[in-house]
Amino acid sequence: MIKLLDKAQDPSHDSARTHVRGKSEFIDDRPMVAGELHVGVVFSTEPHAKILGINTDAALAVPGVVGVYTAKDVHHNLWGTIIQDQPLIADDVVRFVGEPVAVVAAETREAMEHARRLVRVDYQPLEAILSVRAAIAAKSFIAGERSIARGDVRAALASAKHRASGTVKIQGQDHFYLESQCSIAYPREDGQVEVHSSSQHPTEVQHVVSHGLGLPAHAVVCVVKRMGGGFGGKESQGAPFAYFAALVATRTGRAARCVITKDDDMVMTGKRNPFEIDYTVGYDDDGTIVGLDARLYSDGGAYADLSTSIMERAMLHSDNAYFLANVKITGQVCRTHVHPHTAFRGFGGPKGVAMIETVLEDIAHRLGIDPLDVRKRNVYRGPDRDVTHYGQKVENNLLPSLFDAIEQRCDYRARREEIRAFNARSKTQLKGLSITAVKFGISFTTRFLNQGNALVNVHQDGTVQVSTGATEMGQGVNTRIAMVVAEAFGIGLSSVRVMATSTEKNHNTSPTAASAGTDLNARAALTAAERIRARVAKVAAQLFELPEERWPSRTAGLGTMPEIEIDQATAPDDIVFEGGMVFRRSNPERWIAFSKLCREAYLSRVQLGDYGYFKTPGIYFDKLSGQGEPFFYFTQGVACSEVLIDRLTGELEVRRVDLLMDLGRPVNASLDLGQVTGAFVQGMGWCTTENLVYDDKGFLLSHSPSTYKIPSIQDTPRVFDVHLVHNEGNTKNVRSTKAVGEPPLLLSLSVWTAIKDALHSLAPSDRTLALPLPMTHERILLAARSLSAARS
Amino acid sequence: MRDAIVLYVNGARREVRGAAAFLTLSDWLRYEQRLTGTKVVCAEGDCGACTVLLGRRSGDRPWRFDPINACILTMAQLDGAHVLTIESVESNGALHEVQRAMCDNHGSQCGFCTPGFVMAMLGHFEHNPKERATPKQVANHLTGNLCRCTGYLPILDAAVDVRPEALESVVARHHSTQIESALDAIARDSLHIEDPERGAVHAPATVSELFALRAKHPDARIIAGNTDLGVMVNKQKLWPAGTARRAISLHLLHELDGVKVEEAQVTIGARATLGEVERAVKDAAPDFSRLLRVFASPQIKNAGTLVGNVANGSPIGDTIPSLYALGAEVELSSARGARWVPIDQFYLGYRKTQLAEDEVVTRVRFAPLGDKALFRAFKICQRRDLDISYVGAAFYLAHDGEVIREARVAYGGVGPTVLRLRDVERMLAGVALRDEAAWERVAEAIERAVTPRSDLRGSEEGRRVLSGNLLRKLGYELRGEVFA
Repeated sequence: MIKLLDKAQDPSHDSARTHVRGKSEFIDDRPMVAGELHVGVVFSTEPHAKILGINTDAALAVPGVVGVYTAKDVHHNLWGTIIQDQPLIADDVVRFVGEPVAVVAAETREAMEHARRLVRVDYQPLEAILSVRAAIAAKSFIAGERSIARGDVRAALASAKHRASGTVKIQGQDHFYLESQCSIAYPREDGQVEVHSSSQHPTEVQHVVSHGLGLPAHAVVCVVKRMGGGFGGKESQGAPFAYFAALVATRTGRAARCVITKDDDMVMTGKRNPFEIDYTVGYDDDGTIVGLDARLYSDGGAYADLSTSIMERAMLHSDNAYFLANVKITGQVCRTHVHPHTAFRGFGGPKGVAMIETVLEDIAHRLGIDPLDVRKRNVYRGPDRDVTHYGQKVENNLLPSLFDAIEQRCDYRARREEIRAFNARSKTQLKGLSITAVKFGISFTTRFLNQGNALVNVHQDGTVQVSTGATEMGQGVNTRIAMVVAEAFGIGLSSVRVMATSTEKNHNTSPTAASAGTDLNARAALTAAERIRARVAKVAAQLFELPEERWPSRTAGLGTMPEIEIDQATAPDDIVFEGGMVFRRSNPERWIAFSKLCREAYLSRVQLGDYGYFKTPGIYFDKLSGQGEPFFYFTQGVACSEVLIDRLTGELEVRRVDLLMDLGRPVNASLDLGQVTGAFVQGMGWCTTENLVYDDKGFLLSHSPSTYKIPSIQDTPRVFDVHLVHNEGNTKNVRSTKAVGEPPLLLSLSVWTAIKDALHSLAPSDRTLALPLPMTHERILLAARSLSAARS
Repeated sequence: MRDAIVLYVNGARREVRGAAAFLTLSDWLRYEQRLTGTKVVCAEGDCGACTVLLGRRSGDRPWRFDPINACILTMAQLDGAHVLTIESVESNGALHEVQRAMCDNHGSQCGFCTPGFVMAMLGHFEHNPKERATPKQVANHLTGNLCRCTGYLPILDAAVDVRPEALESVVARHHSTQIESALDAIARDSLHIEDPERGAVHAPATVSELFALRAKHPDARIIAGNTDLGVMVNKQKLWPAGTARRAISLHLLHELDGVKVEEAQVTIGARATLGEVERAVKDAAPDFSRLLRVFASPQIKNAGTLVGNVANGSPIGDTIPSLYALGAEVELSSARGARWVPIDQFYLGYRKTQLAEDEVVTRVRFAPLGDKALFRAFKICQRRDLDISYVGAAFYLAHDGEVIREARVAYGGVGPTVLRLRDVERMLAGVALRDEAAWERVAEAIERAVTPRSDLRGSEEGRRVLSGNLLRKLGYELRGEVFA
C-alpha cells in the first residue's frame, strides 16, 4: 500500500538569496569589458534555397561595425551532437527559415542591429518540405527506420475481438526558457578562448567552438555559471551561438557578446519534435490490449540534432505503464525544412505516452468501460505481465498501487458520477476527468553518456568547493550535490559551495539532461568526498591518540614531531562525521571540529582534494535489435485531472489536479516538488495553449509571448494537490533517490485526456475523437460544435 | 524648456540627456546604470521579467507606486518619476519579507523571472500592507509575470506566506516629500530633446503647446503609456535602427488626467490609465470594468491608456467593441477647437481614423448604464489571461424587463475594423429576453454577418462560430441556464 511522504522543509536553492535580490549573474549581466563587441546573426528568410550571393558592403559601412563573417570564415563547418550534418553558418544552401547565414560584429548593439538588416542575401528558392506527410511522400528522412517488437502483432490484431486505427497528431513546443540563447567569448593569450555560455552541455560547446575555429580542445574553455532555464533547449542548440561569439573574439582579439532576442531565438532554434503516429490496436471485451502496431513519425526539421535519440525514447515509452503482449513500434525521423528540432524535457517520452494514453481513452469509450478500469487492466503487473517490449523487467513496480492510491485520494468514482450528471444537465459547459500514469526510464539510452566526474576541494577552514559537469538551470542540481557532499562530511550545507561548471575542471562531461544530473554528478562527487573522508578519518584516529600539544598545528611549523602518516595506516572503522564534528563512536567526548581536522590534515601533507568518477552500471541497449536494459530504474507517478470547458467559447479551466510521484528517497523533497509542479504546468502548456503557428514558408509566426502562450499564474490548477510517496527500494541509486526532472511533465497528459473525456460525453460510442495535441480553446470550441451539431 | 529628463532611481536623482533619452528604461537601467537585476525577456510587455515600481503623480491624487514593464517605457516618460528597482528592495544585505518568503517557499528556480515577480508582489503589498494575501488576489496581481520553471504554485505559496507584521515599505525607505517637490517643480517646464541620429522627443507642459507641436509635426507619434509603440520600436517594426523618430509624450499634461464619473456622463482623459478606468467605472459600467480586469496585466494597465487604445485603431483593440456598445464618443482636439465624434464614425478602415493631421484624441465619454439596460462584454483568447483576443464582442440591450427595446452590438477581430452589426441590432429590437428560438435566429444571423479571416490567433471558422456563440452564451446567462 502506498504511504505518502510528509511535506518536508528542505534547504532552498543555493542561489535563492541572490535570485530574489537580482544579484545572480547571468550572461548578459556581466559587465562589458573594454572594447567588447556585440554579435548578431543574419538568418535565412527562405526555407530552402541556394545562396546566390551575400552582399555585406552596406552592413560594413555602418559606423561601429567591425566585421561580417560568413561560411567561408568557418574552419570546420559541420556540427551535430549525434550526426554531424549541420553547418554553423549556411554555405551554399539554406535549409530553414532562421538558419544563420552571416554573423555581424559591432561596437554597439544599435549598430549591430542596423547592420544585421543591411546584409543582403540573394536566394534561388528550392522546393521546401514543410510537413511530416510531405516528407514521407518524398522519402525525406534522417537516418533509417528502427523498430522494437515483441510477439506476433499481425496474428494478435487479426484475431482480436475489437480493432481500432487512427492517427495521433502532436505539435511541437517552444522551450520558452526566459533567458534566450547567449554567450560571451574572451580571447586569451596564445590563441586560447574562454567562452561563457548559457548551455546545458559545456563540453559540446567546447567541441563545437574548437572544431569551428580549428583549435585543439585544450585551447577552449567553456564556463557555465547558470542558465535562465534550459528544458533541453540548451542541450545542443546553445553551441552555435557560443561559436559565433568565439569566432568574433578570435578574429578581432576583442571580447564578443552574442545575446539573442526572444523573437529571433524562437525563429532560429528548434522545438520539441512534432509527431504523427499511425496506430492499429486490438483489444478484448474487457479492454485488455492484445496487440498494438504503431508507426511513429517525427519532424526532425532540417538537421539531425538529437532527433534520432528522441525517436528512440518515444519508441521505448510507447508502452508507458502498460503491458503490451504483442507489439510492434516503428520509428522514423523525417527531414523537413524547418528549424532542427531538439531535446525538450521528456525527450521522446511524452509523445509515445500521449499515443498509448489516448488509445486507452478510445478503447474505454468504445466499450463503455470507465477509462480508469481499462488502464488498471493493462498496467504492468507481476509475475507474467511485467517485462517491457524491449525486454527490461519493470522492477520496484509501484504502478498498480499508485492507480489504487490516486483513485482513493481523489475520490474518483464519486466525482465520475457527479460529472456524468453535470454533463447531462449543462447546456453551456462540460466537465472531464482523467487519470494517467508515467513510467519514465532513467539513463541516457546512449550508454557512453552515462558517466560523470567531479572535483572536490576541501580547504583548510573546512569549507568545500565542488565542481562537476552538471549545469544549473534552476532545477537545483547544485543544491542536491552540495547536500550529498555536506552529508558525507557531516558538515553544514553553508560550508559547501558548488562552483561554476567549467571544462577546465571537469572533462568530457555529459549534458545535464535525461533527468540524470544528480544521479551522475552527485554520485561522482560523493565518491571524491568519501575518498577525502577516508584520509582525514585516518588523521583523526591518530590525533585522538596524541595529546593536543603534539598535534601538527602546534608542532608542524618547527618540525619537532614526526609527521602524521596515513598511507600505511589502517582505516579506522568507527570515526563519525556529524554536526561539523569528528569523533570515535566509542568515545564521542573526544572530538575535533571538521574545520580543525582539515587544518591538521593539511599540515600533515594529507591530500584534501580528490576526483570522483561514476558510470552507471549494468545498462545496455542494442539499438539495432531494439532489445536490452537501457534504464537504471524507472521513475513512476500518477495524476488525476479535472477540467471544465465552455462549450460556447472553448475556454478551458483545469479545476483540480491530484498527483502522486515516486521519487525514491529524495535528497531535497522541497526542490523535487518544485520540479513536479513546474514540469506538470509546462506540460499542460504543451497540451493546451502553446500553439506554434507557421506560415507557408515555415516561418514561425508565433515567435513571442504575445502570440505564443505558455501557462500563466491563472492557469495553475485551482486545486493542485501534489505528494511524493514513500519508497526506499531504489537502493542502487545515490542515496536511494530517483530522478525527477522530466517524468512529471508526462502526467500533464491527464489534462489532455480529460478534455477528451469531456468531449466524449457528446460523442456516441462508435465515434472516435482524433484530437490533436495541443487542444487549444479554438479546437475545443470547434470539436464541441461539430459534436453538438452531429447530435442534434 | 528643459533638455534633460529628471528622475529618481532608488532614491537618487538622475538627469538624462541626448541619445540616452531614447533608450528603454530597462536598457538604461541595465547598461547605463549597471542595475542588472531588471531582466529583459520578451521586450514587449508580455512576461513581466522587467517589472519595476514606477512612482509618479497622476492629477490631484497623491503619489502612487505601481508595477510597470520597464522594457517598453522610453526614458522620456520617466521624466518626473521615481523608479524603484529590485536593487532597492533589500536593506543592507537583509532580505525584505517578500524576498524571504520567496526563498523559504522555493519561489525561484532558474531565477530569471524572479526579480520581476518580487517587484510585482511588492507592488501588491505596498498598497495592501495590513493583511495576508489570498491566492486569488496574488494571482490577479501576478497575471503579468511569466515563470517557466515553478508551475507558479511555490510563488503563490510565497505570497500567501508574506507576514504583514514583518513588512517594511520599500517606498517609504527611498521616497520622500522632498523628492516629490523637486519633481513637481521640474514638471512645470516642458521638455525637448533632439538627437541627430535618434530623433526627437517633446513633452509639452500645456495643452496649447501640445496642439502647436501636433500641427508642426503631423508625423510624430503621440505617446502616453507607450505600451504599443514601445513594442513596435523594440521589434524595429516602426522605427528600425538607423532611422530617426519623433514622439510627443503627454506625461506632463495633468489636464488630461483622470476619469470623471458624473450622473449623465463618464469622461476619461487621455492620460487615464486602463487601471484607473477599471477602478473608476466599477459602478457606472461594471461589465466594462470587469472586461478591463482581464484586459491586460497589471503592469500594462498601469501604463497603457484607454484613449491610447482608441487612438491606435487596431481592429482587435479589446476595449473598442465595448465603447461601441456603450455609445461612446471621442473628443478630437486641436488649436482650432474640439469636436465630439461617435466612436463608430471615428474609424474609417484598417488602422485609419477621422483624426485630422493637427488633431489629438483628448477624451472619451459615455453615459452610465441605467436600470433598464444591460451591458455585457466578452474577450475570448487562446489563453484565459493576458492574451490578445481573437474575438471580442459587446452587447448593449435596453429593455423593459421582458422585451428588448434597443440594442447595440459590436464585434472585434472579425473584420478590418470593429464591426457594429446594425442589422442584428434591428433583429434584436422587440425580441423577448427569454425567447430562445429568436435568440438562436439572431446568433445565426451574426455568424452570417461577420467577415473574419484566419490568422495566427484563430481561424476564420473558429471566429465565425464564436461570434454566434457569444450571443448564445449571453442568452443562456439571461435565462439562468449557466451553472458550474
